[in-house]
Amino acid sequence: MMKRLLSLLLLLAATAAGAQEILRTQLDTLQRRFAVQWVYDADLDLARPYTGPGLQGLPLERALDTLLDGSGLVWKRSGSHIVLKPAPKKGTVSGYVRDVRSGEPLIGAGVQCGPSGTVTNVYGFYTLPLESGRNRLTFSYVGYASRAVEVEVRGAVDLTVDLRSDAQVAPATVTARTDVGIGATLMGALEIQPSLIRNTPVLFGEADVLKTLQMMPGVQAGSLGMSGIFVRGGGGDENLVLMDGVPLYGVNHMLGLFSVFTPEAVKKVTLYKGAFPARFGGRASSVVDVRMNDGDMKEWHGSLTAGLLAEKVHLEGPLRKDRTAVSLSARGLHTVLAEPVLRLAKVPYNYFFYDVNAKLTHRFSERDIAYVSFYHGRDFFLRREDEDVSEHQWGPEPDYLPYDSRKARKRDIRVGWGNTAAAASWNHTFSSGLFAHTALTWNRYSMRTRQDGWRLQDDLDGHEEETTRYRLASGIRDLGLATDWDWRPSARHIVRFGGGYTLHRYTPESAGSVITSRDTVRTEMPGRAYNGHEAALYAEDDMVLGERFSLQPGLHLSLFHTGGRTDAVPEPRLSARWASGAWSVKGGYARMSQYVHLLTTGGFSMPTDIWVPITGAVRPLVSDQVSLGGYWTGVPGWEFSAETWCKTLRNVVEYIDPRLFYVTTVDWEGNVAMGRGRSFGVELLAERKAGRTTGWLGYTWSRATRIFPDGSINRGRRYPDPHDRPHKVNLVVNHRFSGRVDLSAAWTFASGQPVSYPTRVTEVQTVDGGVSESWYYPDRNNYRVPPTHRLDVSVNFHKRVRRGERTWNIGVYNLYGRNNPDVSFTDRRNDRRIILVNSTLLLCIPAFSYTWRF
Amino acid sequence: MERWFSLFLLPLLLAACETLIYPDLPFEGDVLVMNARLSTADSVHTVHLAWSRRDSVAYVADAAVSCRVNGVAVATASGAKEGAYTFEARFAPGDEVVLAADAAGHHAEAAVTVPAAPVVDHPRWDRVRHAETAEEEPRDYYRVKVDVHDIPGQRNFYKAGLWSSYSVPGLGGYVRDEATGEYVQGTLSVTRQVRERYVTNYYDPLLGSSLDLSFGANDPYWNADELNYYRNLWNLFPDTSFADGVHTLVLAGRCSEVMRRPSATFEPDRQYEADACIRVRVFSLSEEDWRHLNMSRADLADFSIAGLDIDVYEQTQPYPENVTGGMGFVTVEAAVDVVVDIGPLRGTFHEIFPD
Repeated sequence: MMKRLLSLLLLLAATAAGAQEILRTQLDTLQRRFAVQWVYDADLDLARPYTGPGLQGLPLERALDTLLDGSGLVWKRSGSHIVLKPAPKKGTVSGYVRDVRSGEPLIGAGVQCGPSGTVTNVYGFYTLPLESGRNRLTFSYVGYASRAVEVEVRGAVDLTVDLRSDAQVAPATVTARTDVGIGATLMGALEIQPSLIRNTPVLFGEADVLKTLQMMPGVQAGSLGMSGIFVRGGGGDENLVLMDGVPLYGVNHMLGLFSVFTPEAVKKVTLYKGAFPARFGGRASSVVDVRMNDGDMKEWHGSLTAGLLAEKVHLEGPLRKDRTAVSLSARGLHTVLAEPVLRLAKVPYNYFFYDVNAKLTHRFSERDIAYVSFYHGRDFFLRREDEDVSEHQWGPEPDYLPYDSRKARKRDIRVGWGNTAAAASWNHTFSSGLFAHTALTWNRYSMRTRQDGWRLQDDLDGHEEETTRYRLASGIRDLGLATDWDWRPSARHIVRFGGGYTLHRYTPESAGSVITSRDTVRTEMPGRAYNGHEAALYAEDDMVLGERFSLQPGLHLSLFHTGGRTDAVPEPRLSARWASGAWSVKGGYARMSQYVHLLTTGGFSMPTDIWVPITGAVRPLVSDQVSLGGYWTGVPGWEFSAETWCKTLRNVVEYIDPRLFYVTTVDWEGNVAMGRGRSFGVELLAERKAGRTTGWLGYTWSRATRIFPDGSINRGRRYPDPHDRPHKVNLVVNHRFSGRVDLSAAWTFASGQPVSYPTRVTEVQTVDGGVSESWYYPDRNNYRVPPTHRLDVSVNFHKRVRRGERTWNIGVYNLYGRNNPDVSFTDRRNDRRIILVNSTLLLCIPAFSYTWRF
Repeated sequence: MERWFSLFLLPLLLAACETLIYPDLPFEGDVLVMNARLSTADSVHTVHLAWSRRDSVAYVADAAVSCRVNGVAVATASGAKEGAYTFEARFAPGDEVVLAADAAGHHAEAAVTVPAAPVVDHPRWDRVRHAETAEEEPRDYYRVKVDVHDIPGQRNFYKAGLWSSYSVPGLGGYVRDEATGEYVQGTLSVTRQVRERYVTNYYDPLLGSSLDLSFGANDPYWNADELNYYRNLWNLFPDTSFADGVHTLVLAGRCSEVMRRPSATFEPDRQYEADACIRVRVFSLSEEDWRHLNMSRADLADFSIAGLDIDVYEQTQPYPENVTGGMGFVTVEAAVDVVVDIGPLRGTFHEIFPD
């Protein structure tokens, strides 16, 4: 009995002694268990008591985390040694924010911790420097339920968070983005959600990225409902359009009625039209950054759409769950499939286009993710002629002997143009939260045309037979390597830096023909090819200076070498923001340069448009833009903004005579002139972002002019730019009646485009010294056609089906049938008066489509 | 460009709704238009006068036209035929030429300086046999080379042409004169402009005969002798690549075209003798003249398809003009001729005029 009592007393004493154990004792125990060696400074305080839970049975890492939790110490393994040291006062939390269902990274998701916050970058990655210790982070994103996570910050912490989609989330609860939009220091940057692209009613019911951008203030549309964009007085070739970081040269199908982006494959679109981030360069007026879907990491899903003009298919899913995912999309006009039938039926014309997108994403780890993306799109125009006429005719006098004649002709014209682009990229996160993205890109734009003909004539003059074959080709190839880095040295600084190199190969035109009749005449014009070497370095710092003021200075240094000549243009960028409560004011300055020009002969996207690089005679296009804006978010769910800007363009290139597009390798520089452009304007925007009814009302007043002081165009006088349309109004309303029905309506108004109208008829000399009648134009673009306005409406009817959801979309383009001047040209009718003819090609066009999402 | 436009949008245009507008822009009334393309190579010159009206032009039937060279009146024009007034005068490089026209109270005047003429020398010619492809029979060409010395110290523009002329005395029977269209007997003299496409010209970076993607009836091959505005008929070229230097101009004519037999009956075995020569003429132009030529070259390339004659893309700026008190353009081009004698040629028709 006594023995048992003594043992109990000893056990109690031992337990009491254990409760008073210090860190060093526990470490010794762990050392014996795991055969590790500790490394630490001698003055490290290991005598502090440990009162935490027992460590028996725990693996080493967990045991150390439990032992050192709250002790102010951190550990790090170094081979068979464990290094102990005091925890840094500050640490960083970094990682990805993703959709819990698909694993798709969320761009621009908010991460907030007390007064500190950030947003994820275009790859869904964030870094947030914080004080060491326990911190509570809140993650939020539009349309997703917020999530709070507590994390112990000791040094660098990896934290990747998944968010769940929730349509009930009010936007006011979402952390405002600080890279684009009102909350950003940068001004003139707009984010376009894929849902907005899908819901915006457009031509033929085909949702389109660029057509949605045309609804934004400061963005003009081309003629005829074309999808070209003209931003703040800039030309159609002054927009840097990126698909997953790859610049595209031809972004239009069907003369610009559609863009090359299949909406189902698009994840996010950002338009920069004012101040530009320093990482962008190469175009003078805007940047359209289109990010494509990475692919669903969790499960397979997709959609099939059949519309009035086109079919679309989209499929994405995991090849290996949470590791490898693929996203595939394809789109094509119905006439792609109908071509064999049309050919058999001898239909004289056909046109079709198609797009194919593919992207593969592989996560090696949370620190290393690789992407491979591919795009191929093509337009084809075909024209066929086939006629054969035999006649029995009377011969000439005096005998009038009858004879048989025959005239036969066949001709086959094929024109094809489009892009092929590919990119391989790698994201790597360093332990300190430093993020790096490196990409290898390749892009080819080409246009090819071919004409084969045969002609036969049999009559009294004899037998003549001839075959002809023409070909024409034009194109660009790019190969590039670029790296972009994000670094967050402190909570008040986001530093971005990087650089890149691109090898361009331009082949503006090469042509050949063979004509065979009695003789064979062959013409070959192999064309001149130009190599261009383009390099760039950039750096910028998005810095918070106090509670209300932020500044974003940056520099983009670009360099271009071609034909033995090197041009370098430093491009400073500066944005500033002052905010107080719901009010904010921004200012910005940006210089952009462009080393390539698009020679075009009108406001239409034509396959014969030629991209040419700068040469000794044609200088880089340089733009300088100053902008100022005021913003107010005092009403929940609403944003109000007013921006004004002024932009100058140097070395604008235009054909001296817009019809001088001759296919020639000879002296094209001699057929163009360099001048200046100027534009300025005011943009007002009121936008509702929350509730059943969303949308915006935008008004733009702007002017854009050009001048060629050497007198080569318009005798050196200033004239309105072809897209100078002083007034533009866009009213877009999206209303969700229920989960099954939603309606979208868009009303657009724009001043008429300026055109050239002759004021009289005159005579001009011909090349042989004779004269011919010609219409006289006193000035270029001297008359403005009537304004354009229309109402587009579309309704979606959703229904859950056994496998997924089906949606009927029914819409009407130009609901009230406004006779808008889609094409304007001068003509002379029976009364011999010269008139202006406004042709309306797109008049009240209904459309429908059926989509099955699974 | 309008060809592509029409091909793509023609079906839509045919189905379009049209609104006609009669813009009421200011109209200042009739204006006297004077056009003249003069040359130092000619002695007889033509001035074209017309009235420019709102929707039409009308020939000036009764006008007084005068010409002064270096301040001295040298000629007055007479004999208006469809607004064309002719006069005789000689010009030289450096001359100040003033052309004036008076009609119905309007006075139009233009003053131009004759540009310096290029130095064209070192003519040489040969007769070559050349085949376009390995599969073809070689053909005979007259190939003429001359050296064009650029006018130093300024931007220069040129045009060039090649003519052939021959006379065949004693050509039997009735012969249809190519120039007059009449059937004559005896000596036949023929002058024709020849601008054959020869391989050297194709690759000449200055001349670069533009590929013609003609979709209409103006097939360049069958209309080689006609004014074809799809092609660089007059071999227009600037001095971009040989400024202040020398360029060797090569023009070639296929023998069968240079010495093309006239449409006539002939005695195949009879011996004929032809005196023949080839003339290369190089003009120097003013920069305004150069622009004017390029603009009119394009302006007159009207495109017609399927019976529609809509000029759907218009000239959008005025032509160069240098007439004060009116409208129009007057220019004097300085020409230099180099003549190479390739005759006399003797033989039967089949030899002198090879197929």
